[in-house]
Amino acid sequence: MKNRLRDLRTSRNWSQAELGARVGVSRQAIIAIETGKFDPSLPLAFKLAHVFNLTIEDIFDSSEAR
Amino acid sequence: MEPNTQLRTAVRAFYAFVASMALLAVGPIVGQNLIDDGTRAERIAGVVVALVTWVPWIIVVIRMIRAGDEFALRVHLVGLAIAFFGLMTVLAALDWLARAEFIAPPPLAFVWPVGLVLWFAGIMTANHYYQRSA
Repeated sequence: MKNRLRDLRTSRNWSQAELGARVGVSRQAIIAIETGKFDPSLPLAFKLAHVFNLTIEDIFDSSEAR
Repeated sequence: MEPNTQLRTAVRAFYAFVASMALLAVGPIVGQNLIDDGTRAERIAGVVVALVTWVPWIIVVIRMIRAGDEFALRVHLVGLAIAFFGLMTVLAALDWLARAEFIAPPPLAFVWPVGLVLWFAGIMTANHYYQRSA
C-alpha cells in the first residue's frame, strides 16, 4: 500500500531505525512498509499515526483498499 | 525494552543458539557411534540421542521466531512456505526418478539437510523480496 511514511520520517530527520524504535518494530519492517511491500497491522498503523500525530488515512493511501 | 536489556537478551539468545547447534552437530555423531555394531539397547539409545538433540535447537528457533516483530513473522512464514513446498517438490522428483529407475532411491539422511538448506534459502528469498526497493 502506497504511503507517505518515508517523507514524514525524513521531514523529522529520523532514520528508519529510529522510527522503528519509536513504534517497536525493526528497521527492516520500516523499509518494507515504506516501499509498499508490507502492510502494517492495525495496531502498528495506529502507532505510526500516533507518532506523527496524524490519522492512518493521512499516512496510507486508502484508494488501493477499495 | 531498555537497550541494555535488549542487548543482554540478544546475547543470551545467541549463546543458546550456538549451544543448540553444537548439540545438533554432536548428536548424530554419538548416535551413529551407538548404532554401529551396537546391541539392540545401544541402537535404541543411538536413535534417542540423535533425535533428542534436535529438541533444544527447535525450542531455540521457535523462541527466536516468536520474539520477532510482525514483519519478521511474515518473513518466516514465507520462508517456511518456500521450504515446505520446495522440499515436497524435491522429494516428489526424486521419488519419480527412482521409480523410473534413473537413480537409486536416495537415503533418508539426504532429506533433512535439504530441508534445512531450503528453509534458509526461503528466508533469504523472502527477506530479499521485502527489502528491495519497489
